[in-house]
Amino acid sequence: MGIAGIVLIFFSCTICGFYFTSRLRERSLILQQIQTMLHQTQTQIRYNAAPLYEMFRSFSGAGASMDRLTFIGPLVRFLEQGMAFPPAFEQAIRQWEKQTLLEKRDLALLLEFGEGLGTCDADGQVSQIKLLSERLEVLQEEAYSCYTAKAKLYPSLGFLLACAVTILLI
Amino acid sequence: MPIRTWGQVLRYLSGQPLALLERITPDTASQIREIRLRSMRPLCVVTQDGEYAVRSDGTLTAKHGGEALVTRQTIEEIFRSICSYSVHSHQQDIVQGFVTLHGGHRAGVTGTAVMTGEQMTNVKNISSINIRIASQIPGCAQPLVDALPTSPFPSVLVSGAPMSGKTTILRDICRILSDTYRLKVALVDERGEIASVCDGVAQNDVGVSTDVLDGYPKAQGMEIAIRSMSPNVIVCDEIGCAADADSVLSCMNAGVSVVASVHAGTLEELYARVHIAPLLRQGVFRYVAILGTGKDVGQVRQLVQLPDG
Repeated sequence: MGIAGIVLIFFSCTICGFYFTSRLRERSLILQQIQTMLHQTQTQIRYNAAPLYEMFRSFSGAGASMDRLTFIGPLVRFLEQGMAFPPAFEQAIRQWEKQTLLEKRDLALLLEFGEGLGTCDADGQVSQIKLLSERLEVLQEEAYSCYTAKAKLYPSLGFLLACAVTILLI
Repeated sequence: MPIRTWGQVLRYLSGQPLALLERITPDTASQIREIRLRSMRPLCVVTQDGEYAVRSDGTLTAKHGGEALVTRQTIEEIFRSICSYSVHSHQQDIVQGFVTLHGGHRAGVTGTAVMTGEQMTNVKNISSINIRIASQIPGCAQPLVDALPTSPFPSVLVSGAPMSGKTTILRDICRILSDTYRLKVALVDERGEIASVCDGVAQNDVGVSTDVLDGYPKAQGMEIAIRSMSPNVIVCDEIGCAADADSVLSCMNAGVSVVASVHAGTLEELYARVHIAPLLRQGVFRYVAILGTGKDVGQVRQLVQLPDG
């Protein structure tokens, strides 16, 4: 019974460590997909002059390249219901906020993107997106370096914690 | 009875103008042809009797003063709304001066021109928006079509003063020729006023046998229509310049009838138009329909048969 308890403690603490590592990785991957979305938005604006509804509808069917951006589906639904783009985008992000692993500043950047989208001509729009993309790159690098730095730390911490708890219990 | 889709127009509006227009009674709303929003000016509407400011209780007044003003922010928000929050998709329309809305309505937009060299490339600081409510009046052109021979349908010039209903008549001619007489109609809709194509779909009923050349320059559109669509009749709006006149002449040489409109309230005014008068003298147009104004808006005041050239 005691051995089973110790195994359980080791297992759960190590799993916790891996869970926190995966959270860091997930943030990095989401930011990467947001970067993809920004690039595709630029392309759609520059070459297709696509309206926002059409653009996001195409993003919602983009498959693996944007599958983590689950706010796009509700956003398209809000637009189909006749909601104006700025409140629709904000509402979709606010709903997503509860599920996503992004940090507040990541979401703030995304909200800024939605606020500026569709407000000016194609050139202005592209410059605006480029600027956001550069800012996002900084967050992305930071998220990735955070992940690489802590990828081994958290599972090790979990293991050490398990050891500590076991020693205390024994 | 005009089909007026008040609700379609209101969905593009927001803020105080929307609140005021929602208070207007359906009876008054049915008479409104234009909604005019000007930065830091009262909200105005245009009926066939003239322009009126909208009071806070939704009633109309000819005397301006004391009404709430439309703010710049409201204009900006409405501008974004009429562009479906995709200003970049409507850049060309904005430079041309108007955006076509769902339902065939049209929003004229003015502000400060942005020039690149000698070419206007954009409009900034939008200061005025004029939403022109599309009015389809099915059957309004029937008396005119009935008065004309149909086999072959002759070239007709629909002439009238501004706001006399030329576009409405042209639209109905399209519909009648296409649906009733089963003629192949090519509609060269340079300004998008007749068919009001939105997202590739004609918002107005221009008939089942009508091919719409939306946004094509008239001369180019007529040439393409003759070359590729083998029409019996070509319909186009507002001819006036030398290129238009040449294209109409080309149509006649190709054996295709042309129905076009022109700004001129009387026959004399028509003959005073430099590029139109030769077309009349050469017998390119066999009939001129002059439209009435005021209470006779949309009705043919005078139908003139011109002699052969």
